[in-house]
Amino acid sequence: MSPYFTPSIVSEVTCLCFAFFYLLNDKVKVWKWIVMFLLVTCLTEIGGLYLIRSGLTNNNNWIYNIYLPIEIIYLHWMYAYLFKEFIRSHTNFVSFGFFILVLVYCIDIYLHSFLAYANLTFTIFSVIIVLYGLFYFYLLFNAEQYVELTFSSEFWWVAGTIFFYFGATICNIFNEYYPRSFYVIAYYIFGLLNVILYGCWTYSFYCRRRLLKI
Amino acid sequence: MLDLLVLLQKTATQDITVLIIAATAIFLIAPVFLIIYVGVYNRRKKKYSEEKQHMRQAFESEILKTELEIREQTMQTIGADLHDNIGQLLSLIALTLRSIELADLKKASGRIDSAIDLATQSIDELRRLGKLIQGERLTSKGLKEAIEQEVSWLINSGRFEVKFTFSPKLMGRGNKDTDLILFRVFQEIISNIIKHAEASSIIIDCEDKEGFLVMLIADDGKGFEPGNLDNNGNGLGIFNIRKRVGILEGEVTIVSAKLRGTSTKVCIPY
Repeated sequence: MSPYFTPSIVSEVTCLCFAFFYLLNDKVKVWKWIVMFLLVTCLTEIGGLYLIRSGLTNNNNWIYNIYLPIEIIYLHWMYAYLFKEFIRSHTNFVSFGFFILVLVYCIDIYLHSFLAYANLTFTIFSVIIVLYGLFYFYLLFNAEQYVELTFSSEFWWVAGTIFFYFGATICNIFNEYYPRSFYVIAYYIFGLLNVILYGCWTYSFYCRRRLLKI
Repeated sequence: MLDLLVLLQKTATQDITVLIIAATAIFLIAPVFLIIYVGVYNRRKKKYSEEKQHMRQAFESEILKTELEIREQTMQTIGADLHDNIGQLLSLIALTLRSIELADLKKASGRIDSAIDLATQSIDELRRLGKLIQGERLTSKGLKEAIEQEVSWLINSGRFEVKFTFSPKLMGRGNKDTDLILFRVFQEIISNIIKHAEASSIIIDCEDKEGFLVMLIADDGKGFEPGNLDNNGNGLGIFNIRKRVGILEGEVTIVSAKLRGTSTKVCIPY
């Protein structure tokens, strides 16, 4: 079995394939660009693993440090789009979180160097994304109109992100204090979280395609 | 000693692993419950939304029915007026004109004047009827105007002495649909008085009470025993009155006693 068939990579590549099939012709830019975002995610994951497995280096943190700002930008773009339906000041609201993360990222890299993973940034990013998700649910609660959640692409996309970033909180905290003993268990936990995240996203893409067809 | 330290470290690592797995499991279960909660809440919202839709449809159908009833009532009034007043006046004009003898100019002049008076009266009656035809659109001008028109018709019929008051605080407050339903309720109460009460005087009072419109219609007619109504207080068209006021989320109170008149109080949010 190929060493590249990890749960994370398999779920990411599968999600990318479905995104390519369902969303490539989507008229909404943020949905269309998810294909590109997933492609970058897959390349990062495979590249990171390749660097370690090939023995070229024993530190692949820098590749994830390059990927982290892309992840931050894309997720903020998507949440700005999701909030647009409910609140007028959606851009200001999301921009505030975005600038906090840019600041933390710069400090993180400055303090720990580019070769150490920006764990603090990822932890704060996870908290902010979970808050965005909870806020989205709150807005959904208060919305006048009824939304068929079973086939709501937005709902399942947010559900996936909440699962992943909320579930990753413990790993983020322990990664800081117990990096060595924790490494193996983190691998399986992140594998599971990735399967849940990309599973939800894949279903969300299907719902999106279904909506466009209707 | 070294073995003991290694054993302790191993146990600590195992404990941390269990802790991490348990905490992560909890952090994964929490969103599951959150999503279930959102789903359940959303289903309730759907049910509520369907009920709201159903109520809106019922309301719209009631508005349509009310409009038709107002039109029908207007047509009945016009028919009765044409037969009782204008028809009689025109017959009298015809009779007067036929009785003119051109040989006797003095007498003829008197009869011509009399025919002119009758024709003028007919024109006035026709103008009044014209306004009544507009009556079905009156609620678009406001509730006060619509009731005023009806009151004017009641006074002109000569059967009733009517006292009408309308609080200025209520002006321009209600919406078109509320006014329409309320006006129909008013018409039904008045229709009951005309048909059954044998009253000679009617008091109509619309006033504002802390965001509510209180419409009181009282007559000095023969009244009725509350026992004449069925257990739900229905009868004499009261079922329709209660139903319509219920649609407006209001209340109806009817107080009556034999030979002591009837007083109907309608209270709705306005």
